[in-house]
Amino acid sequence: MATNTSGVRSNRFTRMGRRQRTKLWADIASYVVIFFFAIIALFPFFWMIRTALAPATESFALKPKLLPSSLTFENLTRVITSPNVPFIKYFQNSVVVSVATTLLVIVVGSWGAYALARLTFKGQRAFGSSLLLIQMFPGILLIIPLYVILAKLGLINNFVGLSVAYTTLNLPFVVWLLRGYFLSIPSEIEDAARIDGCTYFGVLWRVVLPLAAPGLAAVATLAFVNSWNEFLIAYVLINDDSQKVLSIGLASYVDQFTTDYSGLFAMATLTTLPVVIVFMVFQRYLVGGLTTGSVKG
Amino acid sequence: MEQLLKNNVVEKTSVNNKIESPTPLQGRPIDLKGLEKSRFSLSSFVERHIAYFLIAPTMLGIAVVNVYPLLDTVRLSFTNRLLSRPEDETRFIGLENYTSILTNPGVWNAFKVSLIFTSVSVGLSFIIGFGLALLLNRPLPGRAILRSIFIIPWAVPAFVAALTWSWMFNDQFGIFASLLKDFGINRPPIWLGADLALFSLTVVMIWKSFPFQIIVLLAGLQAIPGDLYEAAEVDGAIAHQKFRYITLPLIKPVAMISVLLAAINAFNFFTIPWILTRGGPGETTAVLPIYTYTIGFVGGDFGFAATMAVIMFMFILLAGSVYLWQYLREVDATGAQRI
Repeated sequence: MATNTSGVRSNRFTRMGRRQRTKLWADIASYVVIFFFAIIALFPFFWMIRTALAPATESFALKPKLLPSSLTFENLTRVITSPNVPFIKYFQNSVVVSVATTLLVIVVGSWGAYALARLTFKGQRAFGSSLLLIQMFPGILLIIPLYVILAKLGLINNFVGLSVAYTTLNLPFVVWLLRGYFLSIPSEIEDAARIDGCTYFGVLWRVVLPLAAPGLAAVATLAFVNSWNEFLIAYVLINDDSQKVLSIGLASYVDQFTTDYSGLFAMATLTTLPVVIVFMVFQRYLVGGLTTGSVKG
Repeated sequence: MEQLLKNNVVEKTSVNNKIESPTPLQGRPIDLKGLEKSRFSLSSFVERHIAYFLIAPTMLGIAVVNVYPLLDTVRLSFTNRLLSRPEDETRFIGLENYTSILTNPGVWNAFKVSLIFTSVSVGLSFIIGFGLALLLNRPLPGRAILRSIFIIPWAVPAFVAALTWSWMFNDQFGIFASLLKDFGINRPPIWLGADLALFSLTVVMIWKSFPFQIIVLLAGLQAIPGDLYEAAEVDGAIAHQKFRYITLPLIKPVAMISVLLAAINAFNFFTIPWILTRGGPGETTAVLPIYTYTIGFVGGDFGFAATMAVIMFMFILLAGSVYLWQYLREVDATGAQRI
């Protein structure tokens, strides 16, 4: 009996040893694969910044080196201060449109999500599933009539038209995501607030939204980044140079910049850094928000 | 809104006044009905129909930005509307646009290019994303930092990504050409030439979209309860059995949805093909959105472009519904958690 037990034990010990060794090798292999793909993921980003920070002459080297001979901020200051390129104006326009869209999305999206998560009303299912359906609309399908109707309303070259379009395009997934988030909050607190005479708007504003702050952070991040990065609608709806946002402003300078890639990528870097920083800062909420939003759905 | 806030304040104070009156529970019950009636107000009206007020802005936005354009596109698709032709000279031409689509070789080409672009980019970005999600789900030190590195291609604006890639693809000054020279290849391939343009475009799309797969699938993997694996270990399951019988069936619903979303996104994607190639050279990379845009806004034929858009939408709707139906059937069959 005794030998039997010790036999089992020693057997288990050797197996543990082998296991640990396998785990070590598996970890090393994982790191190798992950680093390989991390380099691929980062390389274009790195190359953009490298072109922006290298001396302007080096962008026309016939054999560009991975690392530039020296770093300079000359390209960045040149595009910011250039009289020919209203970069600052584009940047301001992008900030205005993206911030307005984000605020609208949070207010309107949380209302819709609250109705879907907590209330019962006629047409609730239709409302929910029509939101899913709308996700499938090709942007190209909307763009022609949108152009025609906004031209009639005088909303071409107008931030209001652009923000409303962006807000609506963000709403379907925002409402679904926040709905999942609201469902994860216990409803007892809201009931208590209701009994104390709080209106629905009061409950939403004072109870639900503070508790759903991480979900709101996720939604706001996505809405901000989506509007900052949108191209097609801005491309069609805005053609006045002073009203251009970064996406189309940059694209319209591509031809002009065939002689100045350093300047182009200095602008690209300045365009990209805000969204990458926003994503990095809020990615914790983003992952958490996506998880809660989808698991509870 | 002002009005609402004011009413809210009024209601608050009136309730407070009531509570100050002695022991409302034992004494005379608060005449709530009378209270409501005495100030028939926007506030009480809103409270009774609260759900409709809450969804109204969303519905309004969708009506203007989605539903009206959809219906109007359908109407336009039966007309000979041109960008340059005023609305009142536009005629109803029946199914003419639809029949000419069938005989238009450009449309068939665009369909073919779109299907290749979508299926290859979604397929490969899913495989890469799933593999990396599995690796990042292991308890590796530093995986939080690695995860945020993988978010970067997702965060980089598509137009910037397209500009950067076209700069890297440049056959004179591009870094790829330079690296190939290091390996002794002095005549580097023309990445955006007729032979390779679709390949290069697909590579860029894979790069742009695999982070989304990582994040969604990682979230799905982390939602799988750990005790399932522990139970399987107690039963003596080995690694690939745990993967086969726990991970795969439980990740399947999440995976199917993330593939659907990625496919819809890729099929409708405009920015990267437009900036990278404008559909060229020739029509080698003219995916459907690019082809439709070119017909509508470059060629000026709104009617025909609208018809293309309607066909695209019907195709997505059909494929999406078949897929969703299959998804719901599978999820019901396995009893797995729905997302």
